[in-house]
Amino acid sequence: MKELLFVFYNQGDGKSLMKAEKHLQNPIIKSFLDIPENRELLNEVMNNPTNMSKQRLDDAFREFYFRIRFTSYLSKSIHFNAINYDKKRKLFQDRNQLILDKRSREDEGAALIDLISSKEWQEGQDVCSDSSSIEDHLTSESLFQGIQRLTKNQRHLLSLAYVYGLNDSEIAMYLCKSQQAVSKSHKKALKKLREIIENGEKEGV
Amino acid sequence: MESLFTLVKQSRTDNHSLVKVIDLFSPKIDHSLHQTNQQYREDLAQDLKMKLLVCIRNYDVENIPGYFQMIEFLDTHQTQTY
Repeated sequence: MKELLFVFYNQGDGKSLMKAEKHLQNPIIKSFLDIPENRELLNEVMNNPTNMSKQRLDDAFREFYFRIRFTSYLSKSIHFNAINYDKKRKLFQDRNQLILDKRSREDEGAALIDLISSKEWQEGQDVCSDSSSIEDHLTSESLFQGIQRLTKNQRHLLSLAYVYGLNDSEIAMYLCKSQQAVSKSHKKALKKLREIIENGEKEGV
Repeated sequence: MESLFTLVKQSRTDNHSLVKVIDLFSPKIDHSLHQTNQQYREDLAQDLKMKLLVCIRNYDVENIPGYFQMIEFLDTHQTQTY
């Protein structure tokens, strides 16, 4: 093979042996010329150096070289992209950890999920904040029992006044009564409520 | 079976050739899947195929040197090229 190249370059100048050796050190050229068909093409260029034969050698080499270059390029792309994918996934996992049911300490200690505050009912919070009746908004037991003993109309009036925040004249308009009547029954209801609570406390003591 | 060279050239316009090229590299992809956990392999395979698609489409096929260009390049540059 070396001889072939040597003969090939010898047509030009005297440094050809060195040149041939150097070219053969290149793994691409070497493996290209290892294939007999390619040596045949080179031989043909040597014997018959027309543009056609040169073109054929060029094309053969181009295809050969492309195969190597392209394969190595794609293999590297696949390899490094696979590594990158794993890195990205790990980063994502580190930032979005699924550790809610992990125990904070081995065996003892609550799971993380038990420590997270709940949006459900907590003490002192309105349970039925959208209820229209005043009984549902009370947290004091004595007040609740007092309200139970008022008349239905009084409860309704108190609901309008304290749940909806209406004043006496607005309530009067809503109930088609005079403002004075509403004011009077409002006061009466509160007075009765107070009496019930005070009596209840006395009884309790 | 067409050569890789023509397949890649065609894959710029022809999706069938593109699929063929990607299929040619599927053993390498499968091998790379061992990189990650079982449950992520399908995702990784898809991701890699998408990356390959871009690589193949954008590869500069015309810029491959011929034999004489290569020789010339070797003569002017002292370093080895792979």
